Parts: sequence; structure tokens; C-alpha cells
Amino acid sequence: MTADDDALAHWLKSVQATNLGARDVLNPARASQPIGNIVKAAGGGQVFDTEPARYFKLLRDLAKTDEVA
Amino acid sequence: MTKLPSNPCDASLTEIATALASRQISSVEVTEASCVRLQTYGRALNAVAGIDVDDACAQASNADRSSNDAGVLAGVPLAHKDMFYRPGRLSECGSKVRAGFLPVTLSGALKKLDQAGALDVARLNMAEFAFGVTGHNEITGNVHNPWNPDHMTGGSSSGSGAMVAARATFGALGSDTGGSVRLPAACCGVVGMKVTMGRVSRYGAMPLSHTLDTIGPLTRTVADNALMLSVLAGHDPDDASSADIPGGDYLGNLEGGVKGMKIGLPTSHFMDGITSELGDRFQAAVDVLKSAGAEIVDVDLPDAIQHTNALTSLITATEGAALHQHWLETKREEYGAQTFGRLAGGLSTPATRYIQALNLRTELLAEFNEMVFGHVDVLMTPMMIMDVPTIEESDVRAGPGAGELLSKVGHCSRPVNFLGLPGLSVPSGFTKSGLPSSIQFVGRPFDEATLYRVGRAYERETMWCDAQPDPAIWDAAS
Repeated sequence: MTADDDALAHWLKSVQATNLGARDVLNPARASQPIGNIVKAAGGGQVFDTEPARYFKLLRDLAKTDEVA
Repeated sequence: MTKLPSNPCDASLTEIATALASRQISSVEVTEASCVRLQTYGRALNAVAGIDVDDACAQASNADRSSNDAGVLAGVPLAHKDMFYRPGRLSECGSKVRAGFLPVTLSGALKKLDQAGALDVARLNMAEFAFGVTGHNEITGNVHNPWNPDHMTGGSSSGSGAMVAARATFGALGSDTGGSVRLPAACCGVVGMKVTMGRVSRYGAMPLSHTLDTIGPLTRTVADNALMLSVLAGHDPDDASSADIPGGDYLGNLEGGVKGMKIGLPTSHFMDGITSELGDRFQAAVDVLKSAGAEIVDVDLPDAIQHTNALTSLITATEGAALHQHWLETKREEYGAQTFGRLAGGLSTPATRYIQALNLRTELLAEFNEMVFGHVDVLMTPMMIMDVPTIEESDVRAGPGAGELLSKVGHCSRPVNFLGLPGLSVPSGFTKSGLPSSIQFVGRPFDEATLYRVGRAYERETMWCDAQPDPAIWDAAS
């Protein structure tokens, strides 16, 4: 086993505790809506809040406000 | 009028751009001098993948005939890592697999430099497919460190680090997925910026890992780096991952100093395993900034930061494997052993594990931001925890200990890639072995401007950027 594998095994103990089901991304009520309705409800913005998309949104949200202005 | 050194290549990027703008020197003069060094130094250090001197001189002649408002880098010859596509020009990515590849697209980063008037005169060697933090390349040969050719350059932007340090080019593009701008910058004693994810267009640059790849400049001074990024930064509609956030004012407050700023020192991970000499050098750098007026504060990091090194490696190998699968199956013999081994390893990553690794980026970024930037303006760390090893002792290929060595080299760089934050590598002197040491400043998302301000404050007090390697010691490398 490499050092990388060992670190990952340790890491996964906490990772696997993440409950994606608790998030809106898996909300059956939402998932069953027509895509057009979801986009409209979201004001045409980012809709599919998959984990990478959440990450990129957070990265932008954390930008200093004077940088964004 | 700028006082230029006898060889214009010994001027900084900022100085030469100013001299060219005022017509104090012609682009042809500067470009010819740069081409001589790229050819001779490039050969001695195995740092150049390709150079067309006639084309370079033609570009320079055109620049000399153009108007005075041709851009902030008008007439400045630059050379870049061999992975930025320009239509009809070779881009072989340090590989045999892509030998003879002629792109049809223009890289977004090169397009910005073109618009600023810079010349693109040579392609620089790199680790195979930008996958290797030591800079070794079993296909094109290893690039040699200008400070001691027996030592590695760091990678994957190995040629960029070597040629900037050797003063053969005023600046060079690199790519940073796990440290590939900052590590060669650190090993070669130059300045390297790993930008915030989305800050610089990745369009038309060879991909390795689409969630981690970033493009950034290597230069001799902090001001040079800020100048290059001021050209490169900004939204590119051709790059879906490009952030629609305006570039910062990197030059305006460069000399603002650190008085009153809070600089954080990590209480975990980054200092783990550091040699006593590098630990002392790091403390000396901290003292410099403290004397300059910064408030130094210890900051705790999320416990999970210790796993980001391994997670970055896993994500890179997995995404790289997805890109390379066809070639891995059909051109196995054309890969170097380490590149093949690491990419092939990515083929067997469970999808669930890959997705879980990505999931944690959001959680960890939020936690890190609160724990660090809730208290300080900038986090300061060493850039490496080990002295720059020799090429021979770090030539592990796919053998035993390869993973451990790569993990150790990327110990301080990879966490910053996992988080997606900006990180600036700045030279902090030399160890007893004569090889460079460096420090890293890590900032808030899209706040590269503060990193440049702190980096410049440190550089102004120390001026390690004035040190110059001696070409006379390179003979043995050629």
C-alpha cells in the first residue's frame, strides 16, 4: 500500500459520512420537475448544483467584493 | 530612461518592456539576444523543445514597425511551456505520443499575450504531459537546474523555470495542477504564480486534470509576474471554467508594503517533515516580514488538509486517465514508465471514490476560508520541505518509493490546488548546497493582488531576485 492509498483510506472514513441525500440535489420533488421549470424557478442561473458546481460557485462567492466590483 | 545592463536579457521583464515602449532599444536587439541564450543555455540545460530564430526575428521586426500603443508587452520576446497551442506550430507536450502535433486553435493565454504585443519565440521542455512534480522526462530528457545542473528543476514546467532563472527569457507560461508552476519556480529560484481556479483561460492549453489545471506565469521578479498576470487574467468565453470576474489591480498597490497586514503561519501540515535548515530559512523569512510591519499570527487549519496531497494526486490521475485511455491502450510503449504507471493507475479509481474526493473540495474550502481568512490576510508556508534533490536521487520513475517522493515534493503545493486558491512562490535565498529555497503565500479566491503585494514586500527587503546562476558550471550538463 502506498502512502497515497493509506491517506485516502483514512480520508474516506470522513468522506463517506457525507450525506448527499440531505441536500437539494437529490430532492425527488425537484428532480421530477421539467427542466424548463427548474431553470425558470432559479432565475435562469446555475441549476444543477452538483458538487463540482457547488465548489466553483463557492470559490466565486468567496472572492473579495472589491475584486468583483 | 531605464539604465539597461550590457546584455538586455539581464534586465527584468518590467525594465525591458519600459525600454521597448520608449524605443530605447529595439525588439530586434532584445529578441536576438534572447534567442542566443535560448539556443546556447537551452542546449546546455536541455530546456528548449523548439526555437525558430528567423520567425522570432520577423516577429521582432514587425513589433519595431508597429505603433507605440501596441500593448504593455510590445516587442518583448517570451518563451513558454510546450503545451500552449498556436495554429500550425508544433506542440508536443513533452511526449512521444504527441510528436508532430500541429494545433488548429490558439490558446487563450497566448491570445492575451499576443494582444499585449508580446512575441512568442520558443517552446520549452516540460515533464511528459505535465504530469510530474520533479521535472524528469524519460522521453525528451531531463532539464537541468541552472544553479547546479546535477539537480532537478522541479516540474512540470521544468524548461520554464530553468530558462527564466538562466535569464534566457523574461517570463514564461507554465501550468499548475499539483505545483507545476510553483515547484520549478522554487527549485530554480524564480517567482511563480498559481492562480485561482478560473482566473486565467485554459482554452487551447493541453489538459491534464480539468478540475485542477491552472495556467500561470514564471518570472524573475514579483513585479514581472504581476505584469504578466495583469495581461493574462480575465474572463474567456471560450473557456467554460473561466470566471467572469475582472482581473485585479496587480501593479497598482504592489509597493503598498505589509504594515498592518496579518500574515498567518500554519500550525499543522505545511511544516511537517521539513528539514531543519529549510525550517530556519522559513523562520528567517517570517522575521523579515515581521520587521517590515506585518503582524504574524498562528492559524489552525482543518484536520483534513493533511489528506489533500493524496486527493489531488488521485483526482489528477483519474481525470488524466480518462483523457489518455485510448493512447494508454494503443501507444503504451510511447509513454515514459512513470507517466504510464500513474495514468494507468487512474483507470482503476472507483467512480465513487473520485466523486467523493471532488465533493470534499467544497466542504474543505468553506472550512479553510473561515479558519484562515477569517483571521489573516495571507497564509505563509514553505514551498518545499526538502532541499532540491539531485536528478539521480529523484529519478524514481515507476519504481519503489515513487509515490512517496512525489508526495514529499508536492507536500506544500498540492493542498493549494485541491482548495483552488491562489499561491505565489517567492525565492527566499539559498541553502548550504547552493540550491534555492522558496516561500509560498496563499490567498483568498481571486485575491492574487494581495499575494503580489506581500511577495514584493519580502522581495524588496531581500532582493534574492538579483542572484544569477553561473553558466560556466553548465558544461558538464550538455
